[in-house]
Amino acid sequence: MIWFRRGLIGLALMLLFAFALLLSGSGNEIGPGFTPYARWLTIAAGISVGLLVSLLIERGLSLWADLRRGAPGSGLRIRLLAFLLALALPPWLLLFGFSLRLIDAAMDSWFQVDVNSALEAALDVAREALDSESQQALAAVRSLRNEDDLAAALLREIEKPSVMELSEFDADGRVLDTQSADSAFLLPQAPAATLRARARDADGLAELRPAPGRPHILVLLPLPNERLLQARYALRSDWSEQSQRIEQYAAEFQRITFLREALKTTIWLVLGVVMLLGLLLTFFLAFAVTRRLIAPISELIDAAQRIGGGDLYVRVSERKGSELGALGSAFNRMGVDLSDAQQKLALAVQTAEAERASLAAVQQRMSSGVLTLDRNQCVLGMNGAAAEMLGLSTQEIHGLSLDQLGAHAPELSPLCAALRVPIATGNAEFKIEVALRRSEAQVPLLLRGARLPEPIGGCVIVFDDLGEVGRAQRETAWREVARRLAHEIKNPLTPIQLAAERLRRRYLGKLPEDDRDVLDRATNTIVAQVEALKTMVNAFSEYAQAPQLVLKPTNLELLIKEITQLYESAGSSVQFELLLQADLPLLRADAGRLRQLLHNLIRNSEEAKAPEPVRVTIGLRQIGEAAAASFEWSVSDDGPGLPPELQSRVFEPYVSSKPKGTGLGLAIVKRIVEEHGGQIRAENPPEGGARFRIRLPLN
Amino acid sequence: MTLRAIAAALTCLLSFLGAAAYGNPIGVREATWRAQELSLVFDLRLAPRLIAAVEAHVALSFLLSVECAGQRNDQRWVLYLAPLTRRYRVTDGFGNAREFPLRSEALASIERVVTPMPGCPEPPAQPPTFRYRLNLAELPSALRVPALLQDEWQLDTGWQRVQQQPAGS
Repeated sequence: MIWFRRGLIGLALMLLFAFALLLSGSGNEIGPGFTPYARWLTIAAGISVGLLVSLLIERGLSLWADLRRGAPGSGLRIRLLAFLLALALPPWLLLFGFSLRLIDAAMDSWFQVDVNSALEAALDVAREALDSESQQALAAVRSLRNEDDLAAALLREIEKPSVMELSEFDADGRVLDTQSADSAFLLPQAPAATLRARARDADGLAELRPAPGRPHILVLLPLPNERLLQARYALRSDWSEQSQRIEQYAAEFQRITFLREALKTTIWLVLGVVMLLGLLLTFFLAFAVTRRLIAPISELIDAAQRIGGGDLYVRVSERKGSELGALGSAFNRMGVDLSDAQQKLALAVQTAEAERASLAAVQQRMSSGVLTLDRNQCVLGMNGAAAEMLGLSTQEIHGLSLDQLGAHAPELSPLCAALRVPIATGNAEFKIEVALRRSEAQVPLLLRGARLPEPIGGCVIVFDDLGEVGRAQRETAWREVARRLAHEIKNPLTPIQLAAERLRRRYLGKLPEDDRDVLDRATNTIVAQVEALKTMVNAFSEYAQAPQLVLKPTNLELLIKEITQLYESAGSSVQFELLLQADLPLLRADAGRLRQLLHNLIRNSEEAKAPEPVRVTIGLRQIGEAAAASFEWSVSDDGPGLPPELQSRVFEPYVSSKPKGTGLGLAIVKRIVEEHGGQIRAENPPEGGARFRIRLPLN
Repeated sequence: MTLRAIAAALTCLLSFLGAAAYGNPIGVREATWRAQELSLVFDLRLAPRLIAAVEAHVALSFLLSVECAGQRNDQRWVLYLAPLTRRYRVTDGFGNAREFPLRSEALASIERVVTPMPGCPEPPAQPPTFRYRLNLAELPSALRVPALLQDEWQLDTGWQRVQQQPAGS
């Protein structure tokens, strides 16, 4: 398309040039020659001018539009274009103006010389000489008319060198006699009737006949009886040449004088077309030059803007052997360096982000609380365990200084006060114990702090709930006891039961009525208690059992619905309310263990309110994102709630407020949660009843 | 936009050329076809500028073009004022010259023209057409551009059709 436009412009300019050549004429003539293609060339030149002007307007508008939309380099291009035109146009206009003025003045000055008068005078002289020649010829012919023998007189006269022809005509124009100096002469041509009449009226006439190549004097003389004598006398050769030259020059000069204004118009038109051609050429060259000069700069500006916008992979073309080419090379090297640096930075950020996510995931999984302070002792963040222990969310205390934290949560004042001292003294590491009051109970915390290296600064504090540690230790001990009990008790139970049944079979029929009754009740009691002991032993065994999880992608929502439907189909008095978030992802878990977990919690609620029917609300939702994403699973009831004195120990074996049960149900629940890497918390919500909140990590 | 501009320029140019072609028509008083000969009588009036041109010894060439049965015949007459004799000379394309003391006589001689068309059948299948005009191409070259731009130089009958004479007339 570009080459087509360039070709079109070139063709149009050439047509205009050809038109200017046509107008300027050829040889020594100024003005258009009329060749067969002149009309078509004129039309083509008109079209060319229209086309070129249209293209110029289009380019100007395009440039203006570029400037309006802030295209790179457009302003510079317009300034450069204006500069080039300011340089090129004045000489053109000056040349054109002065050319017109000089040509005008020169032409006027040529015609101020009184050549015309001289030529007219010369013509007058020639005419007088011609008249004289004519009168002489007429006189000679008149002398012939007086001859008695006209034929003989004609023969004599034709011998004179100047006589070309002598002819006699009758009244009807027929030739009566003729003599000619030219041997090839055949018959004379009779004069026209008007000439004959004039000759008769004037009694003879003599006129110059400027026949091409044979100028002569024609003499007509009337004769008696309506006859006519016609004679042709040749002009003297020198006189003929001079008179012809005078006539030619006089005619030429008068013609040129008449053509003066037309000549000016033609010259103006030629100069105008040449001027137009020059102007159009100047404009197109200016556009082309500015485009060529500005293109690399525009490219650089555009590339710089794109790099500024984040596209570091943009490159510019490198023009060899020019300063702009060197600039382009340097720009491209800079782009390569920037993109390399960005890649390294992105990699570093990605690595740091992965490490941060990994650290965050580790922190979130830790049972110890982690609290991070900046160099100004303001809270940067904390993990879930810390939030759990402190009873606050990260968003709630983010950015708070220790003083502000103490004011915000007065129960944390001892913690803030305890931290202030070692931090202020600049200890690299410290270890302190603090007791916090939570729900009428003391929560002993062990804090271990470490100062973070520069330039990060600040410090990180890791703290453990000593009560929780104690509980964990007790739990371990219980598990060992349970394992031993299960092992030691389970073995003798079966022989005891068999022995009791054997006693019953052997002696029940042999004993008297009273003893029989005693034996019957005693053996039944033994068997029943052994069964109870077996149940207890199985529970202990299960509690002490090492985890053998079978982890598979599990749909928790489906699992919860299956269990609740099982209860409902079995005619249970438990009423369920499910608050389950839809479209949750699958959890990699042991579905059997989770079923047991939920079953234990439901049975716990059911037993807590027995014999009255209990209403159990089960909630499930996803909290957190990415590495910190987890399920929050809550099971709450409308029972009497957890006794405050047992609230912190409900997950310990044999801790139960109910008269029935092994006291291992919630301990097993806690065990299952921990097997899945989760956490469980028991609480009494303000609306009443008990609530268990379980967090299971999604990843 | 470019195409519209080109179309506008072309329209202007063609309009100008079209107008220039028949700016000052020559009247046709009589056109008679008889015996393979076309006799024409025109009403030829020269504008003052053309008269001035003749008086300044500029030769005016009139061209008669006749088309008949696919054949074309061109014939020219040149009007010129001879400086020495101050007589108006009319020459035809065959080298014949006639001189007139008065311009009106000279003009009258080129208002009445007869041209033979031997190649044209008698009677012609289609009426012959003719065009009589001042031939601008034979003007002095300096005068051609102004002549193209000024109406008074556009002496032209345009193409005319000869009306058939009734049989026996």
